[in-house]
Amino acid sequence: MPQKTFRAALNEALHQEMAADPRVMIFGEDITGGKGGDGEVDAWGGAFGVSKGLLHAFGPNRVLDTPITESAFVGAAAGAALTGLRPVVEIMFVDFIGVCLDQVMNQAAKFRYMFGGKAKTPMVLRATFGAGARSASQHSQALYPVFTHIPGLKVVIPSNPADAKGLLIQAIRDDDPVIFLEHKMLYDETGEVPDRPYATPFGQARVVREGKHATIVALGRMVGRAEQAAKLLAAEGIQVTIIDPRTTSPLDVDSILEFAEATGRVVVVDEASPRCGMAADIAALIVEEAFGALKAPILKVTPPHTPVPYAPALEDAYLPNAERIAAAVRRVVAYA
Amino acid sequence: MTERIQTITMPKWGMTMTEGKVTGWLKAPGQRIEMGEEFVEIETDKIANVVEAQVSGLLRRVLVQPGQSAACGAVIALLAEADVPESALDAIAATAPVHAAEVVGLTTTRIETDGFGLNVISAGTGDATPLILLHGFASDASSWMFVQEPLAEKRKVHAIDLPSHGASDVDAKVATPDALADLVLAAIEVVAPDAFHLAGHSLGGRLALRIASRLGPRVRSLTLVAPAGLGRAVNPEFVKTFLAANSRRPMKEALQMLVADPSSVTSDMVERALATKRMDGASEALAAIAAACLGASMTSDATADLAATSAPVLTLWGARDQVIPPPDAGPTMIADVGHIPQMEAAATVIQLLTRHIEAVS
Repeated sequence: MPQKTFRAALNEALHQEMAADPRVMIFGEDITGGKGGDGEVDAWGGAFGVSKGLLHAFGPNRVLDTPITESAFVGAAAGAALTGLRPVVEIMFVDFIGVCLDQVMNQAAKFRYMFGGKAKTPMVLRATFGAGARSASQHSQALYPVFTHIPGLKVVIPSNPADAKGLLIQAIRDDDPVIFLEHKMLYDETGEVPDRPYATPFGQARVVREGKHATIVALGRMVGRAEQAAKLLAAEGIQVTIIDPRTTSPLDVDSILEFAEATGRVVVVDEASPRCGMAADIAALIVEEAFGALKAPILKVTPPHTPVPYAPALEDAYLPNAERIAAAVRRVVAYA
Repeated sequence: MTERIQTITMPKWGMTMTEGKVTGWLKAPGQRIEMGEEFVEIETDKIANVVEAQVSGLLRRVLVQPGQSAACGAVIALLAEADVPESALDAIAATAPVHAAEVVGLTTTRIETDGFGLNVISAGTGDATPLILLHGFASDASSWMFVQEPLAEKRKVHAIDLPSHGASDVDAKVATPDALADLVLAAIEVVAPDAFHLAGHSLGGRLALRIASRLGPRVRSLTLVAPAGLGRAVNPEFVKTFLAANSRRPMKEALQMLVADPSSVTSDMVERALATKRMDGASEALAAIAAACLGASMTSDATADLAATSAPVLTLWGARDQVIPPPDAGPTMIADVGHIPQMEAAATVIQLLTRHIEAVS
């Protein structure tokens, strides 16, 4: 099966869905790439190269550069979706959501409910997230708990190229507003990605690996770090299961509980801030539904409750890493 | 002296495997290994498997310890009789560095016929009559991964992804045995334009029969592994469960019906099966194929095809097959194996298939 980068997998999903459905269009800042620089159109394919080639393939009526006005173009996406288009709108960094949160939180998320189920809002809001790129605290946050908290939104966090493609296709075909979050440090990761289009359903976790001693639940870029931790632990004879929920809304509670009950020892790894984050939410779900099966306290591995530091050494220390995840697993496994 | 030493190499299971990790030796140096006996556990990122010996001999030297990895094709152990001196083993061990990756020849080709693309995975370079492998319903060419390379010592071995399976194109209109066989045959004409050996599993066995009955002596031998049409009716519970399964747990239940040991179905296998079904149009196409090929009417057709086949036929069946329970008499039965012997008892299948092919050649 062909190997592709996370970036190429997303690009392929956009190409295939735009070719299949004329209602699909994309807009955002600089997504046609490079325009206004040396005059070359689509030199970069957007700030992160994800929309490369779309302008040439589908033309300026379906691939639009916007001014730097998230409040206007995210609102335009919600309206376009209501009227029958299927817009994919890009916010360059999810941190910029602050200036257009009303359009997402009070408009797009509410339409289906406010109009008694008669309105559909098939929009996708793509954005990069996450620390590690030396981009400082206004360009590095993992804000998915904010969106997960808002009923009416679906929230997707792919951890690998194959899921990135399948989940983006599902997001475009979905009739509800979807927040699609791409960790900027994953764009160059490669993996097997089928050429043909396919939709990966929401609310179905991936079982990354199976082991009997403990269960790690991890999201986005933390899945890869959990896999590194699993390798360290395997050398010590500790076998772990890793669950990647893939979407936080809907959340595959059944799979999380199944493996929490199977091992009785759980570590949740989350790049979001620890207070009111996904780790806290998932830990609470397990305690409520599977308390009797637990053999140890659930441990959370998260950053500290602080803005993402700009100093490289501090940013590296801020993020959960394999060693910290492994240490947490050792603690829950040793707990008698 | 070196000709009295047999090397055991790291297997290659599928296109993407580049190295494997030894997780445990079931035999220690000084113990005998018999052909077909499980002797080492190997794990990759995707799969863990107990390897069955393809040769017999005395295990003298383990070169890759538990927890260590080695490239596919690298030597992991040496077999030799007790009178072969340690110095001769040292010499072989020294010239067979564990980490040197051998180029293992699995290639993929896409063959277009009237705009319909089929994916073919090929192994081997030898000049002996090539072998074509056809997988079963809802599976893909990788179901031969444990046997394809060992069978390719002297010949090219081509495993074809059937229409609407694996990486081949998807079309619900290509669903009858004849429509499927036509496309498969068109691909065979490209990879094996002259004589060939043919083996098929389950639905692939049914198609192999149809092709063999049409081509006459060009098919030198036919091996059918639990073929649809020659056993009892296909278990409708399997087909129904598989077609309805859209998430992990129901798919795991479906796949567990395929094997004698349900614990051998891993999450990765389940995810792979789901991923295949999630390809646009694949669910509909698989449902159409099941309706057209796996129903009650196929038995009489298969019997007629068998009667019209001139090639020597070997039929293998797992004794514990719950998907297509074996007929009372006729096939070579493999004990303690379910519906996919080529994965559950790879060494036995390699041995029986090789003997059948060699008997013709």
